[in-house]
Amino acid sequence: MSVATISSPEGSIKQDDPFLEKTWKEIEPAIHIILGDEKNSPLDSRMYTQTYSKVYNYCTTASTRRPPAVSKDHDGKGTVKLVGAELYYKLQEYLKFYLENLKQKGGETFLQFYIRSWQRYLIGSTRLNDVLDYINRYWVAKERADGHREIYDILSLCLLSWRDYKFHANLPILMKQIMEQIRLQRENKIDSVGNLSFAIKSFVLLGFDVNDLKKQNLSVYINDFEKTFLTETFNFYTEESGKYIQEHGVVNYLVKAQQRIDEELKRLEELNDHTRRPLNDVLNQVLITNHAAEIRAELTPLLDEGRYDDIRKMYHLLRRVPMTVGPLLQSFQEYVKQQGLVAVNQLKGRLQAAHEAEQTNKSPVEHHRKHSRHKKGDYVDAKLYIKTLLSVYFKFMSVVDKAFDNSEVFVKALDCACRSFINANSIATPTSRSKSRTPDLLAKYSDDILRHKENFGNMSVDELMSVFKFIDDKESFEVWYRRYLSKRLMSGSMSPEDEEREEVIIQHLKTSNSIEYTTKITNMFNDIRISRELGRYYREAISDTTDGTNSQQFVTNLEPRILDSSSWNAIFRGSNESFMLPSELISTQEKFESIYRERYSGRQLNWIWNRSRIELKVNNLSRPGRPPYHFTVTLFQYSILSPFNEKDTMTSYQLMEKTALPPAVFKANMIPFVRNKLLVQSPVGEDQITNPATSFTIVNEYTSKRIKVNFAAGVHPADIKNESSELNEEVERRHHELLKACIVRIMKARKQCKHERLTNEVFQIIDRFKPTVGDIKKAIEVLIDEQYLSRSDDGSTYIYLS
Amino acid sequence: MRSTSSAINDFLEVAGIDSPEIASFFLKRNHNRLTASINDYFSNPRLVEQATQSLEQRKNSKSIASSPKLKGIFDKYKEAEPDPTGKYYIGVDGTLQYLKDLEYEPEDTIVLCLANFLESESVGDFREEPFMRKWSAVGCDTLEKMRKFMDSTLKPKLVSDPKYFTEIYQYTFRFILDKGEKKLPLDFAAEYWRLLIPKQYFTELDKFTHFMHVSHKMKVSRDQWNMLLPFLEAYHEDSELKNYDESQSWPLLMDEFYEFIKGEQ
Repeated sequence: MSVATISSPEGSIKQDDPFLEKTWKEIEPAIHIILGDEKNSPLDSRMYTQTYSKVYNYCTTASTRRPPAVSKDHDGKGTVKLVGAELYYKLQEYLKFYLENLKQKGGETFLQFYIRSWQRYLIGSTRLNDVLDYINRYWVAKERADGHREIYDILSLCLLSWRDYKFHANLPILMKQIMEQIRLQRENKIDSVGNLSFAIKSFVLLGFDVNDLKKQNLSVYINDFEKTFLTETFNFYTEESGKYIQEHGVVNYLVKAQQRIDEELKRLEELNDHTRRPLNDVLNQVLITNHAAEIRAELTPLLDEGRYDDIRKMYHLLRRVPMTVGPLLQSFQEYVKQQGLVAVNQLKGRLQAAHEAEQTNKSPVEHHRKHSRHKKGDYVDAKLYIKTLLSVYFKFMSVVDKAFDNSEVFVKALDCACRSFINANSIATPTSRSKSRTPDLLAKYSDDILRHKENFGNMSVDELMSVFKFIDDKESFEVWYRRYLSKRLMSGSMSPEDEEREEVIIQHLKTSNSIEYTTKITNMFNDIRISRELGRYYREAISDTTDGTNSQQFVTNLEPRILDSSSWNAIFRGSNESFMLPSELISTQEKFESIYRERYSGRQLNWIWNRSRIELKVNNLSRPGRPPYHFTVTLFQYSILSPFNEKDTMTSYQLMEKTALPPAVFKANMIPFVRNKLLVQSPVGEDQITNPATSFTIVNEYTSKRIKVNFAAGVHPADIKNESSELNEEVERRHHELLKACIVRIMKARKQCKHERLTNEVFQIIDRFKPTVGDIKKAIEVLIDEQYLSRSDDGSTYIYLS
Repeated sequence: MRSTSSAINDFLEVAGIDSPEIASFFLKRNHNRLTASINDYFSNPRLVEQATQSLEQRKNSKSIASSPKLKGIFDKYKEAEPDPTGKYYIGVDGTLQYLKDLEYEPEDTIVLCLANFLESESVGDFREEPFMRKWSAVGCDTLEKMRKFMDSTLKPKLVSDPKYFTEIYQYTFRFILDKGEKKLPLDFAAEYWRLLIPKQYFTELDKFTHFMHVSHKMKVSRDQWNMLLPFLEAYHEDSELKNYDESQSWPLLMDEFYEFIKGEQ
């Protein structure tokens, strides 16, 4: 082995220093063994100590033998020149020689060679660093402290030498072989060459920060490895993913892509952590973003087929790139909305078909009746309708759970979709301009629940509230709800259990909306309670005969209902027909009025005759020996029957004169008597009833299977078909009033406000329903008309007039 | 609602003043609500001062306006009997004669300017006080001078001053509206539109009135009346209403018209 001529940057080394030569000769074989020789000779600790001592001896002896050269700096500070430079340069030279002579074995790829020799060299370098530590500690430390950045500790020197003589020189072939390995791994043709990560991590160790050797410097790793690695990764997966989707379809691809991502993330163990982010980015881009549209397109078919596991895979994959989830949400929302619309459409078809079949099977008379009672084409069954809406909602609620981990954004998308199809669909809004019927049908459904007690339970209340929360027009629901409630309250006695059920729903409505929202509903219950008390009070009053009145002249079993007109407006509707109270009831009316006035002076009491019901005990119409009949009749019917106490036959003219009822009301109340053969009409025919000459004769003996006969139920007022349009008008009025109040409130605070701003604020404040721009404009114009507001000269700003 | 005169008396009593004009000024401001008016009176001393001043001014001009010549003209046309409050006025017949003597047709737009100038509240009702005050303020005490003033001042102003034109246009609604009504019958409104609205907007105006008839909108509110003018201007600029935006502040009626036009296209 020969030693090459040493040239030193400082040229201060005495080449013929015999002590140096001697020392070097002694330690060189050991260095060779430490770094690794051909025979792979074993290392032993004695060799370390000997080498260490020799270096120590050399350095210390050399410095005592030759007094340290003291050079004076211009600032006069002395620096001591330590010994070690000569050995350092000799080692540097030797490393070059050593590495250049390190050759791969036959049959070994370069990569295999690189990994094998690098592993060994790394061990050797570390050892050598220890063995030559004396130089590190004194000479190197001093040199670096003096600013000689080109002097390194022994380990770094070893690594640098590797970089210069083994790494840089062979980088192209090294990278080619590494990437080939990775490709083979990706292609599952694993051709193991030992641990690839040693080769890759060498890139990290070979990065140097000349200023701070302890600091990791990734420049070599990033520039020489990572860049190529990422490009290759990108290219590989671009090709693979495109081909895979083509050949195996999206669903299989979802699995494949996830598997690929897992594999690659596992590979990160072999790489520096710096690559984590860029690798993720590349994978997301090439495996997800680039195929997001294709993947998303599969959502609809998968939903159609109910393959929620696959959708879950899709969601999990896309979730890695948040950007791709937005469009997925939209697709999902649109799908749910469409499903809702389709479900309602199908229901509509079924109901219409059933309705038509029913119509054709009916006898003409009944057909006619049906038509007069229902608005033409009203075939909608509230329960089926609400159940249909709910079935879609619940179905997709479970989809959100199964496929989308109940993630908040999907819950929100579901809510949006439901809100849309629940408020507007072919049943609720047959034309684009019609007001939604859903609030009405939901109120009807709640009425069904409350009437059919067996269906009542937590489930049905939850269902009700589920739809309620989606309803845009809460105001309309409240109006309809009160209408049905008034019927329930008026229909007779409500048991405590019934009331409890009513309370449960009111409580829910209150919680879900506001106390104010249920005020009127609550008032209605209070009215009924107070009415009961009044009834008790009345009965006490008439049984008290101390003032000499005869209790015989009063109706004893009076069940009064005192209702506040603002909450009960449905009841008050159409209650203004002319009517003459039969004389035998007048004293009762007067007595009650006086009692009422005593308690509530200053309140106006209006009698709603058309809502009054009378229970009659009929003594003289039963077959001898049979119990008397109990008739339930309307007050109007009673007034018609009452004259028959005097005379068996009355003409229509006489009866109408006595009762003062309008012909239509008279007819409606008369029909049940004729149909059920209590009165015999001559000439016959319903259109003859109001003919003044038509006569009615009461039967001598009434025959009915039942003792209790309800004639009141057969009364169908002609105007009932207008009820829904009237309620709609009420809703409109409420909307309008709410808008006006809201606008005035805003304008009062602002004094002046631009049209756009005012509209925006109104939209923000009004939450009971969704006003249209037209609704708001209408309210504004009414306020201008009423001189609460005026327009400024530019026409687009409003001014509040106080 | 309580009668206005008793409200005035109550106001005077509470406020401790004796000017019914001040009382009626504040009552008017507060929609005849007594309490509100009195609050207003006591919390706005500045306003009281202003009102008093303008009242003084009016009284002064009244004294200047006692030109016997001008008074002669008024007396010539006035109704024989004063109105229930004892004030004289020129009625329908007097107005027609007055216009005839001024050599104007009753359907001339200048008549609207005259009515506006003389602060007439409704058709065929010229009050003595503004008649004397306004004419004397511009120094007119003969029919000749009056005609000259109208021809050389009011008429050109109507053409050259858009603000004045808008004022006359908006005033016309109040002027021709029947007492106690809030809306103008469509036919009546349409007549005045033809009279007032510049010819260049007639194509648009005709489409609009056609729409009103077709959709059976037989009444016109003051807001609709006022906004028609700027609407026709905008419509004229944008003849297919391409830039029309329903979220802007046009009245609902214009939105409906827009829908109608779109439906026709």
